[in-house]
Amino acid sequence: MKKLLLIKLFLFSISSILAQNDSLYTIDMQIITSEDIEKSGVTRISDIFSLVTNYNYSTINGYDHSISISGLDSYQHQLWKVILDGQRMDYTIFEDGNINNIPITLSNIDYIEVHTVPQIIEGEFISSGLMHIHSIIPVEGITVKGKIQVGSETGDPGPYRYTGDNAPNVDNQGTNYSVSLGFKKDFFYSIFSYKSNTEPLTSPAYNKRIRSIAPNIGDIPRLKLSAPSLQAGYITPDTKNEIYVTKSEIKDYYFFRPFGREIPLKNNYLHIGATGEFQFQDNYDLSYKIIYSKNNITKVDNVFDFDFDWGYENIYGNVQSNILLKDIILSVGAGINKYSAENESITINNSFFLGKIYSLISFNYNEIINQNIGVFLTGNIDKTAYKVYLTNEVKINNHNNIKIFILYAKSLLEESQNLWYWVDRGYDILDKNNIDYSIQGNLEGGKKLKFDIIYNTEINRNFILKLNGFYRKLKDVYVEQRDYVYNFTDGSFHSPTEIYTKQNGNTIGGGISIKHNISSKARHTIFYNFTTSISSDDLFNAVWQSIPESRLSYNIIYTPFESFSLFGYLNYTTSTKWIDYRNIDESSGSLYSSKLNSLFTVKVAFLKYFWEKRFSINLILTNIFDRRNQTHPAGRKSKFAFFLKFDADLHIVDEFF
Amino acid sequence: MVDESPFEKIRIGLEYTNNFNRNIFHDTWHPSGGIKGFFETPFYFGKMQIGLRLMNFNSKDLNIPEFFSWYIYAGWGVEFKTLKVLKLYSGLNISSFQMNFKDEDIEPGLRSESELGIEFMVRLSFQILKNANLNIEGSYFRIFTNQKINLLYVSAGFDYSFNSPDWLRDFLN
Repeated sequence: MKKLLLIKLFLFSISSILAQNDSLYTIDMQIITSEDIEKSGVTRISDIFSLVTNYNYSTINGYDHSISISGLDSYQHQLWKVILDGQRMDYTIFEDGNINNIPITLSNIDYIEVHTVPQIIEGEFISSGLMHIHSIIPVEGITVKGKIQVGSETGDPGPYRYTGDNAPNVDNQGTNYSVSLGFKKDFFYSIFSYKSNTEPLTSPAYNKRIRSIAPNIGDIPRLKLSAPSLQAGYITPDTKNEIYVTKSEIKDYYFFRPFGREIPLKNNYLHIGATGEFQFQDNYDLSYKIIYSKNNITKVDNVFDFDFDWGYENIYGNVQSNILLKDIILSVGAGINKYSAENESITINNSFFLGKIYSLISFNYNEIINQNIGVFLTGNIDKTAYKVYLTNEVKINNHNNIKIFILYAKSLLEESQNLWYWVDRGYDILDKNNIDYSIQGNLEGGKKLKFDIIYNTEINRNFILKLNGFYRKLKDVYVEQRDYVYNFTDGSFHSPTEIYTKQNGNTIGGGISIKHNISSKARHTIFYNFTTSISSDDLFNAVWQSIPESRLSYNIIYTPFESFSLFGYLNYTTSTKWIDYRNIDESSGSLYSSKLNSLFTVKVAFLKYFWEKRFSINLILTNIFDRRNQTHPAGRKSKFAFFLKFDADLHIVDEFF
Repeated sequence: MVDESPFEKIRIGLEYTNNFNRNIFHDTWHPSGGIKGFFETPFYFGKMQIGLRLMNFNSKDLNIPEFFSWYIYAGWGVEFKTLKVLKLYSGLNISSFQMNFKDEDIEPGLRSESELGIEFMVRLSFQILKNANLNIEGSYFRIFTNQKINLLYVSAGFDYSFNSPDWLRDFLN
C-alpha cells in the first residue's frame, strides 16, 4: 500500500513538473476520482454526468447523450470535447457521439477532470466543455483487471406475454464486460485492454422505429461495442512519452434528426496517438502530440437503402512549450489539423487544413492576484478566427478566492464537424434520400462572449462552498428547426429541416455547490444549477427551452468500513419544452408530448470489497421510485432497475528482475 | 439485535416453500411447492443473505405455458433475539426473477424471461440444538413486470450454523 502511494506520488510529481501543466494557470474544474466512480455505482462513463455540476443531458436510447454544459451550447450543438490522457478523441460523427464508446475501461480510470469554463486546455481551445479522462498507470509488475456487469429487466410482460394482457418489452440492461492486462517495469508501462458493451434497446417506441427500417434485426436491437486498445508509456523524471492505439467497432442505431428516426449503421473508429513531454531545465519544457484518427460509417441493411457512405480522417499535431520566469509563466503552442472526408459526392473539397497558434501568459503580481491572458488563433490561408480570454484570480486569503473569466471567441464553421457544413460542401445524403431541408443564409461558426465568476470558500477543512454565475452572448450562430409529424405506420417523425443562420441569444445562470465531510467515513455534496435564455431571438429562446432551467442534486458516500460503502443520490430537474415536437401531441394522438415533466431520480449503490480489495461487488439500484423519467420526447422512459457489477483487480506479479 | 462480528459464522438453511395468496396472476397459474436454500452471515450491520428459491407454476389453461422459476437473490436484514430460543429476522431480498417457459412451440429466444423482484421477509427461528434452528418464514414478493405480480410465500425448514473458516473470513473481509 505504502509502495503504491509512493509510486503515485512520484508520478504525480512528474506530471506536475512536466509540460502540459494546465494547473500552472488559473483554471476551474471538477475532479471525479476513481474512488467516486467505484463507490457511486457508475455502470457506464455517461453515468458520470449525473455527478457533475453545471451539466444537463438528454438521451433517446439511454446510452447516447446530448450534453448542455453551463449555458455554453444547447443540445443541438455537441461541441464539447473528450480528451484521454492528453489525446483528443475524435470519435464523434457529425458532432454526435456516445462517450460510452471511448475505449477506456472504467477500472482503468484514475480521475476525470471536468471543465465547464472556456479556456485553453492541452492545446485545445475549450469553448463548450471538456472531460479529460486520466488513466491509471499500472503498479510495478503485472496487473490483471476484469469487470462484468449485468442488469435487470423491468416492466416487461413476463408470463403475461402468453395471455390477453401481453405488453411490449420495455426495459432491459445489457451485459458489459472489460478486461485489461497492465505491465510495468521501471520507467516503462503498457496496458492492453478490451471493452465490450451490449446494450439492448427495448423501448417499444424505439423498437417500432427500428423494426420498420431494419426488420431483420432479430428479437431485440442492440448497441454493440467491441474495443481493444493498447496504451504504453515511458516515464522518467525528465521525460514522458505515451502512445495510445485503439480500433473499435460499433454497431449503432443513430437518430438522424433530419430523417426523424434511427438509421442502423456500423462505425469503425481508429485512433493512433502519441504524446510526449521533455523537461530541459527547471524552468523550460516542451511537449508534443501527434494523432491520426479515422472514423467510418458503413451501411447496415435497411428498407430505405439508407447509406451514409461517410468517413473522415484526421491528422493532428501540436507542440507546446512552457517557460517559467520569476513571476511569469509563458506557454506558446502551435498545431495542425487536416480533416479529409471520405465521400464521393463532396464536390467542393473533401479536405481542409486548419492551423493554430496560441499563447498563454500567467502573471503572478503578488500572492493575492494572479492574471492569465490567453490568445488562440486558428485558420488557414483563406480564413482565420481568434479567441482571447482574460482570467483573474484574487486570493482573498488561504481559504477564499474569486476567479473571473472573460472570453471572446470567433469560431470557424470548420472547427465543428457538423452535418450542415458538409452538406453545404456538397455531401448529398439529404438529397439522395429525399429529405427536405433549407439553409436560410450562410452558415457561420458564430461569435461568443462569455463571462464567468466563481467564488470558492473553504469554511473549514471539511466544508467547501462554491458559488458561480455566468453570462454568455452568442451571435451569428445557426439553429435547426423542425415541426415533426408522427407517422403511425412506422413510428417515425417527419418534418423538413430549416436551418436559420444569424441567430443571436444570451444565456445566464449560476449555481451553488457544497461539499461537506461529515466525518472521516461520510461525505456528501449538494449542488444547484440554474440556466436560462434571456433577451434572445425567438427561435434561439425556443430551442433553449429543452434545457432544464434548474437542477438540484445531492449525493452521499458513506464508508463505515474500509471494505464496504454505501452511496445515495437524489436528483431533481425541472420540466422542458421541445420546439421541434410542438405539434406532436396532436399528430400522435397524445402518444408523444413536446413537454416533458420534471424528473426525480433516486439511486443507491452498495459496494463490497473482498480479499484486500482484489475483488468487489457493486449492487446498484437506479430510479428506485420507478418514475417514468424521460429526457427526450422521442426517448425511452426509464424504470426501476438494478445492476450487479463484479470487479477483479489482481496484481499477479510483483516485480521483474 | 444479535451482535456478531462480520462473517464470523455461516448459516446454511433449507426450507420448503409455497405461495399462498391468490390474485389475478393465479387465475392463470397455480404454484406448486418449491424449495428455498440460503447462506447467511453476520454483516457490518445486521446480516447478509444469499439464497435461491425454485418453484414451478403450472398453467390452468392448456394454451398458456407453465413456467419454472428460480430466484437467486442477495438480501440484508436484522435479527432480534426475542426469547432465549426464539429469534426474529426481518429483511429485504433483491434480484432477478427468472422464468423458463416449458413449451416447444415458443421461439427459443423467448423461452426465458427475467424481471426485477424484491421481497420483504420475516422469519422466526426456534433454536433446537446449539447450532441448529427450526424456521418458519413469511415473505411478500413483488415482481416488476408491466402488470406487477405480488406473491405471498410461507416457508418452513431448518438451518445449521458453523464458524467461518479463517481463509473465508479473510477473503470476505
